[in-house]
Amino acid sequence: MRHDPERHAAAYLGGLLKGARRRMFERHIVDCEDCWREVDLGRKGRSVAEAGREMAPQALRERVRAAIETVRRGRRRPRWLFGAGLAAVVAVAVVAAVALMPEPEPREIEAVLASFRSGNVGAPTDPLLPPRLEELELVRATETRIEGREAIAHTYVDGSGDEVVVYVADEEWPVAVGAEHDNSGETWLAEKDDLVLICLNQPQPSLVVGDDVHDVELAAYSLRP
Amino acid sequence: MSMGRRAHDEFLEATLPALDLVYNLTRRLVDPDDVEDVVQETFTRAFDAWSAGRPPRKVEPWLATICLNTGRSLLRRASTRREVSTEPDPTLAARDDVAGDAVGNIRKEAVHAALWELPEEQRIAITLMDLDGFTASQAAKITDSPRGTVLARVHRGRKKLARILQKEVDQVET
Repeated sequence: MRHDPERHAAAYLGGLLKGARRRMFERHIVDCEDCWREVDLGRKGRSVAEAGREMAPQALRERVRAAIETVRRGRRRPRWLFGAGLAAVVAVAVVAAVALMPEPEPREIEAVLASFRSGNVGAPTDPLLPPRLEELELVRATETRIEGREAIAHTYVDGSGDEVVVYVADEEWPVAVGAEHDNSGETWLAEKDDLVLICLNQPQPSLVVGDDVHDVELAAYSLRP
Repeated sequence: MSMGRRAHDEFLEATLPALDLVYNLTRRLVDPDDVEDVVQETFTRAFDAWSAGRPPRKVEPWLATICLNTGRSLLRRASTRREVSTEPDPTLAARDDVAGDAVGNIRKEAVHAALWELPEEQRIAITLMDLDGFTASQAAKITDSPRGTVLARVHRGRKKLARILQKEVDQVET
C-alpha cells in the first residue's frame, strides 16, 4: 500500500479504519513524523471547528413556527425577501408579473410527484425493468394510472432503505417546468422541492423520481441504452 | 386547503430540534443577510413535503439536503460571488459558553471567519461533520459526493483551519 499520510490520516480520523488496520496505523504514527503531523493537525482543526458551533436565535425559532402555522392555515406562503429595496421593486413588478404568470406544471408531472409521495399503492404486476440497477434493489412493481395513462411504478431501494421509483409508460412524458436537458435533448432533469426527477425517452419512456439525487442519477444512468 | 393540526404538531416536534443544525449549515452557506430567510424557506419546503404524506426516515439529513438545495438555489439566482461579512456578530459574543474544551475559548466569530476563508466544498463538508455531527457517509449522501472525497475535503479544511487559528490554539493549549 502506498504511503499517503494525508489520505490515511483522513480515513483514521473519519473512523474508516477498523480493527487490525486501525491498530496498525496507530503503531505506525508513533514512528512516522509525517503521519503524526497529519493526525495532530487534523485533530486540532476538528476541535477548532467544533468550537464554532452556534445556537439558533430564539427569534428565528419563533419565526419558523409562525411561518409553518401560516402554511398550515392555507394562507399564502410567506415569501423570502432577498436583499433590500424589494418593496420598491414590487410595485413595478406587479404589472409585469401578470404578463409573466408562471408556466403551469404538466398534470402528469404533478400526478407522478403525488404518486411518489403517497408510496405508490397499487396492484402488484410483473416488472419491465431488471431486479437490480447497480446497487439499487427492486422491491416491488405496481400498476398505476397517471392522468389517464397506464404506467408501471418500479420501486428500488438503496443500502440505507431510501426509495427511488422508475415510472415506465408507453407514451413519452411531458417535460417538467424548469427542466434542464442534456446535450442529446433526450434526457431532462428537474428539481421539485425535495424531489429530483430524471426523464429518459429511450429505450422506453421512463421517469425516475426520488429524494436522493445520487440514487436517481444511478437509476437513470443504468437505464440508458 | 388547510393542513391538519396533528401533522403540523408532528412536523414541529420532529424538525424543530434540528433548527440549530440547519442554522449552522445556512450560516456557512449564504450571506448573513439571507440566513434567516433560507432557514425559514428550508422549513416551509420541508413542511410542504411532510404534509404531502412523505415524512423522511431520518429528519436531520433530510433537512440538511433541503437546506443545501435552498441555499444553492438562492446563490444561483444571485449568480454573483458574494462578499460575506466577517464582522463580529454581536449576538455571538454572549454565546461563547463552551467550557472544558482545549479550544473552547476561541471566539466563535473567529472560527466563523476562518471557515469562510476555506473553499466552499471544504467549508460545507466541515460544517456537516464537525458542527452538525453527520458521519462521513451521511455527509457524502447529503452533498452527493463519494465518501473518500468528503473525508479529504474535511481533512484539508481542518488543517487550514488549525493553521489559520494556530495562534489562538497555541494560546489556550499553553
